Amino acid sequence: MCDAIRFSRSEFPNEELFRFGLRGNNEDIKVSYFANNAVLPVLIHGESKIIPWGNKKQTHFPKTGFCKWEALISGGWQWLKPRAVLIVVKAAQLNGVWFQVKKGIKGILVEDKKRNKRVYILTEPSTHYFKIMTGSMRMPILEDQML
Amino acid sequence: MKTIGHIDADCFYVSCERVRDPFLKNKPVVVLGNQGACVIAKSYETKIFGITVGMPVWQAKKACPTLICVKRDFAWYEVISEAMRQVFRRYSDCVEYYSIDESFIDFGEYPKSWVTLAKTIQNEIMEEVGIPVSVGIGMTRIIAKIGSDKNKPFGVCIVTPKNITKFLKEVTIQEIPGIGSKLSEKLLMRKINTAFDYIKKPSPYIKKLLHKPGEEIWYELQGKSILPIRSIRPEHKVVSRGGSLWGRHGNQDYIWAFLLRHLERFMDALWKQEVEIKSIMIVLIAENGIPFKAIVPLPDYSNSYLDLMKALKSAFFHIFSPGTKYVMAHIVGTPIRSIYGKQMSILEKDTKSKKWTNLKQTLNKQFGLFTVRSGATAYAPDVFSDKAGDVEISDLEGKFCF
Repeated sequence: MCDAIRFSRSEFPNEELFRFGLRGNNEDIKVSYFANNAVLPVLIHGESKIIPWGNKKQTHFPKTGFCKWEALISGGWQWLKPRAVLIVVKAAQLNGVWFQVKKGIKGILVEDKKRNKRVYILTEPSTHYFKIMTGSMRMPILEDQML
Repeated sequence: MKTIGHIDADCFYVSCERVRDPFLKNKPVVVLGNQGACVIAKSYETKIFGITVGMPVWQAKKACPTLICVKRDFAWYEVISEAMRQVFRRYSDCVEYYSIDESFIDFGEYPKSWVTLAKTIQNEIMEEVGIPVSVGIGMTRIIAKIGSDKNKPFGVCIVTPKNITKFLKEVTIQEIPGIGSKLSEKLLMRKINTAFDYIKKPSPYIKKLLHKPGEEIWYELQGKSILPIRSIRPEHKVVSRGGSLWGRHGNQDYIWAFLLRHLERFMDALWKQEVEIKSIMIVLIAENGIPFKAIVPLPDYSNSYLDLMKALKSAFFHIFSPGTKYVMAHIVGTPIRSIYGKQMSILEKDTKSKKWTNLKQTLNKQFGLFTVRSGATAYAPDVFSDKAGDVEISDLEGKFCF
């Protein structure tokens, strides 16, 4: 689970950022999940892309920003043909606590027939450390990092 | 005249994290300990928000909403600490590991510019290791230590016979290493407010008031070096492992299961340090803060899991009180001695248990510290199923950790 993320502007081409209104001079870009234009910075086959974060409006994508690992491995998302991606953020926030993300967060990318894409953050039950730090029972699955 | 240096890293834990994650630079950052509950280190950027060491994370996030929390990694900090000492050793063979982020260097009689020396070391550490340090250089270790704290961060302070009087007049009693709050009060009552006031008193007066340690400080502040720089670390006198019980618990089986986890970490420390212990102490801390202790002497020095588990069990059942809720548990082993240099018995005793212990050690080394463990740990399934539990990154040699 995450309420917001932060990533580095310099790691993404300007045209990608501008497409989603991420203008400005700040090197450190913050995106809230609750914003209308919530997006995630993603690495797909070595390419840096900005993709909408989950779904809040359309009905054919799951109406959430997160995917439970347990649901994924039990086949619950199979109909969407999800692809694994790395969400390349530097920090994430949950319940008001920003925590360092060293390499990224694991996510899945889904696409509809009209080639609209969405990225969902993969989550798992929290470790004791994460529970104490944020008060949350679920946490994002981090790449090569244990909290 | 001796030249002694004290090098103190600035915001060491955060600086170490910034070495491997430049994203953290120039941002308010804290390092969390105690299972993610509180601040154990902070960056200078957090100062204006009033964040302090020991502050609970919920309070820190309220004070500074943009604060970034990092999980402590003592193994990494030790790597950086050693990298710094390798630079110091270019200047002298006599380098003292005072703490993970502080070192003393005895430069001998250094005739060249002390300012240039200090700045050169500072810049080399910054370029080669990536850590900002503050440096104090003086004629004694106490003067050098006070000096390194004077102009933080990334400061340099040089104390020579020419400026020592001015320096001492600007040092308060509380800033003198070795003089804690109680001793400070004693001195302030006698109108000894500064280091200069301290040395103006005759030595017998100071010795009567503060005994030998106080007299040593008196000489050191005068510029007379009597406390040596120790390049060999003194041997550990105890081995200890323990920490939070992840909440308040009164269930005997649960607490015993958790203690077995601490025992595995404790055994790991004994084997890594290649030592044995003569007695084992258990400390249980109740929710009201009161500690309960029991010590069990062993028949002989030992680092056998079965011997220690038996002794620990006996100690635990001796102090455990039904109805009491406990929040922390620690295991302490002392005295300790090296496993080498002891007289071996002609008769090899209990080879079966030794074989079992060796097998367990081999498997746990390869597959994780708690892979093979006592069945009694089944009473704390949440603890042993925790994904982060296998990675015991706080278990650094010689460090009391959370």
